[in-house]
Amino acid sequence: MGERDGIRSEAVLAVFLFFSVLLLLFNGTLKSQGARRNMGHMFQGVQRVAGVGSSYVKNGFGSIKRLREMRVQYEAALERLGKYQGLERNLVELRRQNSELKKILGLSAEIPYEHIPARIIGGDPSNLFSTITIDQGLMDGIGAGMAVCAFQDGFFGLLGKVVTVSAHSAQVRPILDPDHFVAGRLQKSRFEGLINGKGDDEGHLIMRYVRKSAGDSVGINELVVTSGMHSIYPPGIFIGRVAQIQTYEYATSIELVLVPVIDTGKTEYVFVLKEQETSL
Amino acid sequence: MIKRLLVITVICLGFSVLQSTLFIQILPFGFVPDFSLIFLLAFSWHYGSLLGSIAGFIVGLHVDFLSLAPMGFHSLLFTITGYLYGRLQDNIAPDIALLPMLAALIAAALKYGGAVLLDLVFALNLGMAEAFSLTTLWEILADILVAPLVFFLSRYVWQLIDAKKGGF
Repeated sequence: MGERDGIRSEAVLAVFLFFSVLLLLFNGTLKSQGARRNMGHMFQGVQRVAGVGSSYVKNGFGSIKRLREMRVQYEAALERLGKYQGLERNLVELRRQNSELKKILGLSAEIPYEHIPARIIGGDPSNLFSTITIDQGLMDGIGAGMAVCAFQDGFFGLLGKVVTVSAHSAQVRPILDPDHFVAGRLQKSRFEGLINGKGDDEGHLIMRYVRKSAGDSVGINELVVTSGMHSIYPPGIFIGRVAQIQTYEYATSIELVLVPVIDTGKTEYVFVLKEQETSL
Repeated sequence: MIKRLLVITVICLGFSVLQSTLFIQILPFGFVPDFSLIFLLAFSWHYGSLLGSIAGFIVGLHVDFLSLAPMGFHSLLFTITGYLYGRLQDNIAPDIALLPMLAALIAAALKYGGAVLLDLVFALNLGMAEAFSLTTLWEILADILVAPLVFFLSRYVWQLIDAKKGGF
């Protein structure tokens, strides 16, 4: 009996390993057929509901923290105003949200491209990947391959691109991902290169295939923008700043390590750029 | 068997969704334990390698859907993990707190080691060479710390499943 169970479990293991390897081998084909997208709709729907719920819980946690700080400073006053605490808390949160939304609305008007604003509602369930989930989907006009941007510290920067879309949410592959490539151009010296995520903990990017002759004219902190060449990204969107220049004797090009202008960890709201007809 | 698999799938799906939405927002420095993996360990250890590998495949597949992982990535890693921990069923009982902690540590090592191997074998370009960072260490530490609690709570879940089964 025990031996039979052992054989059965090993057979099951072999079958599932075989299936997993098949999935890995035909990953690209599955993606192109949209099978993954269709299956992912259900899970992303659940994730969207949880994302909306979790933002309420997060706000609750934030309120508790603020309440604690206020208690220390205004203990006596808070005793008298106890019954207004909940109201006040909501008011502060609403004001914060209001000013944030006003700011986003103002910034949104500045974007020269047709866009859809969205909120980040989720990340990756494990630390191995850098998935971002947003709360807008197919029904809101989002499509796979659309560029995703955000405002941070005065820069309108590239955050990533939409990979899979469900009815009311979408998954974004950020530029930090080593498997995400963007055609970039140095803003001042105008040299071109190909940018992808370095995959390190600091979230650096790496710009490859920059001409060796650029070595002298590229400076630290020089900005890099999208080149718009054969790319889904419109030209002129900020990507990052040069942090390090790597030159190798044997190579015909140089590599630049970039710090992205958008820190995905601090980003709450994004703008999905609608696909547009290229005029050039 | 189907009921057990359904329960572990729902629990792990719930935890995966919470990990990707709530926990990453409220827990600092990427200190997010992989609850679905630890629940899978507890399940496999309790119900054996047959159910462990099936559950591993199902749980892994839905983690693949939730993340940008290539299809089959987590399902392969979790199937192996489920099978291996299921083999412990008749040999060691996860009674003391140290064993679940050790189990979580080994499972995390299997997950990251396996990820590097898959990255190399299937040329997935996941940048796994850089994956061993401070965030990884935080996650492994978080896994180790919550493992005894998850194993403790999971006992009640298994009792509930098995009691209902015998009660009718």
